[in-house]
Formats: sequence, structure tokens, C-alpha cells
Amino acid sequence: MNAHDEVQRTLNPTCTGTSVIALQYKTGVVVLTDRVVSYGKMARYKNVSRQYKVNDNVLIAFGGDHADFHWLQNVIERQVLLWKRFDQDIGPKALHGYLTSLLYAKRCKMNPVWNTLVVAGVEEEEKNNKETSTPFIGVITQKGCAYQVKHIATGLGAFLLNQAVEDEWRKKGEDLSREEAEAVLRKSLELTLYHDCVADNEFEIGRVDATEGVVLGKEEKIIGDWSIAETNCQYE
Amino acid sequence: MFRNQYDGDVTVWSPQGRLHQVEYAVEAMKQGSATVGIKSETHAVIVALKRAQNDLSSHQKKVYEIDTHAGVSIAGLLSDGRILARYLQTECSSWRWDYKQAVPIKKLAESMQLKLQANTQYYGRRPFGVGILIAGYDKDGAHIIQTDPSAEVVSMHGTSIGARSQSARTYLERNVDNFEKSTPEQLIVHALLALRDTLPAEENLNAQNTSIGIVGKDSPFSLLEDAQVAVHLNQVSTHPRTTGGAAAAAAPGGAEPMQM
Repeated sequence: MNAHDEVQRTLNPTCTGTSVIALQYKTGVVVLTDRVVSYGKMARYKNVSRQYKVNDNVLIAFGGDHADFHWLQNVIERQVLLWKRFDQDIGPKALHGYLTSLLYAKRCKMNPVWNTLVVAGVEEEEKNNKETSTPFIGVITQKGCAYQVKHIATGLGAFLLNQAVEDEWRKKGEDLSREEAEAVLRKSLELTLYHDCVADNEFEIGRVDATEGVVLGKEEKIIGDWSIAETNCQYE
Repeated sequence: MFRNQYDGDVTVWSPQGRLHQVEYAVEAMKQGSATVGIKSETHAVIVALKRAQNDLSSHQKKVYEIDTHAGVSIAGLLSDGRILARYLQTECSSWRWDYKQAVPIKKLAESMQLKLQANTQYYGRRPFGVGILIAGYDKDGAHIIQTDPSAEVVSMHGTSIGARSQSARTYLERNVDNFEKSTPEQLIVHALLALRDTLPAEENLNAQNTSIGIVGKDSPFSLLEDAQVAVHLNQVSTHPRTTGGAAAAAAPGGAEPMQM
């Protein structure tokens, strides 16, 4: 390690985003993120998206350091251009594989990319065949630990929501409509709002659908039911 | 070919604007035993004629698998060709390592082109004395890529390189309209008929001197074994032999090589 490496590496995240919640439905994936950037625990910037449209088939959402993600966005753009040279659009599985190797290599150099990534999408070949279409959700942690899932909550949501999301998903027979899936996400956001002090009530739900491709969400807002606050003995 | 004062190194131009060393390398490719590649909508086939050094030696392997969806055949200096085949194998596996899926054939063509061209521009290097045909199947369908030592890399419907390959190309040009809708079996027969046209009248294709590689939709690249090669050669032997372009030109229409 060189003399000034500690200031060039992300050893502490600075401006961060919190949970990402994603869920598979019949023909696609829905992804929810809130729209606040935290500086420590302060809500420093508002109206900032944490979802990035890679192409018509792939959407990436992230938690963790915003600056590191901007760097990743640049890397991803170059990958998209590389694939364009061969007249192809990079698919979610290929991008997930690539970013896994990238994040793992960076952590091995003791210089991690401080993000938890959720890669959502559909493969081009499966797009027009709804019977066999398998929407993709892949997760990558800042250490390069990667896996594929049907539903996921990252950040503090990983502690609060995974069981709740899975219960809902199973209750619907693992075959939700888009409306049902979005309802689960909205309920989940409400739960993080109560328990995660850096979560925000302004959010967006993006989706990747087998027919429509990537559709970025519009800004939404919930208020929640704060009467439960009275039951918290620390609430003044 | 005659020696002249401008062929000492690849980087030296002749006043006519030619690179003699590169052209010599192309000659090396033209002296290698022939290979033919053709494709249909769904499949790509490469066939090659193998030579044996003498009666006691085995035939030199000319067709290599480079990944489950692609293979190459070689004409020219086989030792140079093996280097390129291995290079393509590493390109395939490194793409798989990065993206967990098969490499696009266009990417292979681009990598090959860059590697070949570098050897025509730097002092002290020597062009590969070999041409290769890449047969592959990817998201965009079937591909036949032809390369030569001057770094000319092109995608073809059907092509042939190596000794007397003009005769094979003549056959391919006559039948090119049939390739697109051909079944894999028909495609192999077409390729073998083209390859047979490169042989002098006293020689013929047999299971020892013929290699067949095929790849296509839902079928990974396979290099056919001797017994399977013999089956396709039986098909070919039912078609009357022409002596390539010369005989066909002498009897226009009468000696159409095949109807399928």
C-alpha cells in the first residue's frame, strides 16, 4: 500500500443510499428505491434516483456509496459500447457476471466498490416467449459475493424485509401480477420508513417487463401511519 | 515469385505499394491443403483435406474445436495455425469467464483481425503463414469467417482457402443459392463436393484424409469421427466426379454437380 492510498480508496462510504427492494412477477421484475442521498445520517440531497437504465433489457439499482456508483456507471457504459461493436445488447446475466468479477477483483486489491448492486432484467431471447421467460434478479455485494434470487431486500431492508417479502411472494403462489408485486414493495417501503432512519418517504418503482422492456418509475410519496409512534417509549 | 530488394522485412514497402513479405505469407497459405466452409440459416460446416507427411505417418489434424459454439480449420503452416487456434480458445474462455456465456463470433473475428494485422506492421515480426476458417453459431445465427495472413478478415456465405481452392470456390459459386435452406446433412455433402473438386483426378476423399466439423442451432460444435465421415463420403461418392472448373466449363449444364 502506498503512502496516500487510504485517501484514494473507499474505506468509508460518504454519500450513501439505503435499501433496494426488488421482486419478480409473472413477466418481469419490479425494483423500488427511495430518492434521498444521505451524508452520514443527514438527508443531504433529495430527488436523486438510485436506478440506472443500462439498455432496454437491463436495469441496475444500488445501495451504498453514490460516488462509487457513478464510477461504475461509467464502466457499465463502456461495456454497453463494447457489446454494441458486436451488434449486441448486453443482457442481465452477462452484466451480473461481469460486475461480480469486477467487484471481487477490486475487493481483493483492498479497494472495494462500496455498493450493493441489484441487476434486474430479461434476456433478449426470452423476451418474446412469455411461457419460458424467466425474469432475472441478481445481487452483488461490495465484496463480490453474488447470487440470483426471485426477490430481495438489501441494506437495512435485508434485516427488516426479506422474510416479509418472501411470505407475501409465497402467499400469492410465487406468481404475482405486477400490481400485486408493486403493492408488496410499497408496503415494504413503509416498513423501512418506520425502522430505518435514513430511508425516505419519496421513492420510485422501476420495472423491466418482457414486453415493455425497462420502464423507469415516477416519483411517488407515502405518508404512513405515525400513530404507532406513540407506542415507542422513546418518542416524545 | 522472384526475390527483390523490397522483401527483406514486413515493414518495407515496395515502390508499387506492396508488402512482399506479407504476400509471401499469403502464398504459404495457398500451398496448404484446402479447406471449405459453408453455412445455412441454422448451421455452419467446415471440411478440410488432411495431408500425411509420408505413408508411415498419421494425417495432420486441421480442424479444432475452440468452444462449444465454434471451431476452426486451417490451411497453410499448421504449426502457425495451432497457435491461432489456441489463441481463439483463450479468447473464448476469457469471454466466458467475464460474462458466463459464449463469445459472439464477431468478437472473435475482431480479435483475430487485430492479432494478424499487428504482425504486418512491426519490424522484426513475421505474418502468420496460415489462413483459417472459423465456423460458429451465436445469437446472430451461423457464421463462416475467413482470415488470411494479410489480416483480411471477412464473413462469408461459403468459401475455400488452400491449394487449388479456386475449384472449390467455383463449385460454391454455382450452388450458393441452395445453402441457406439446406439441412445439416445436405450442407456437409455440398462442402465435401466442393472439397473434392480441389483434388487431382487420381486422388479421392477418404475417411483418413477428410475432416468434418459442424455447429448449429441447438447442436454444439462437433468434429466428426472417422466412421461418421465415411457415412457422408458415401453420399458424396454417388455424385459423379467432375475435374473441377475445367470439366464443368467444357460441358455447360450437363455436369451440374448435384440436385437436392
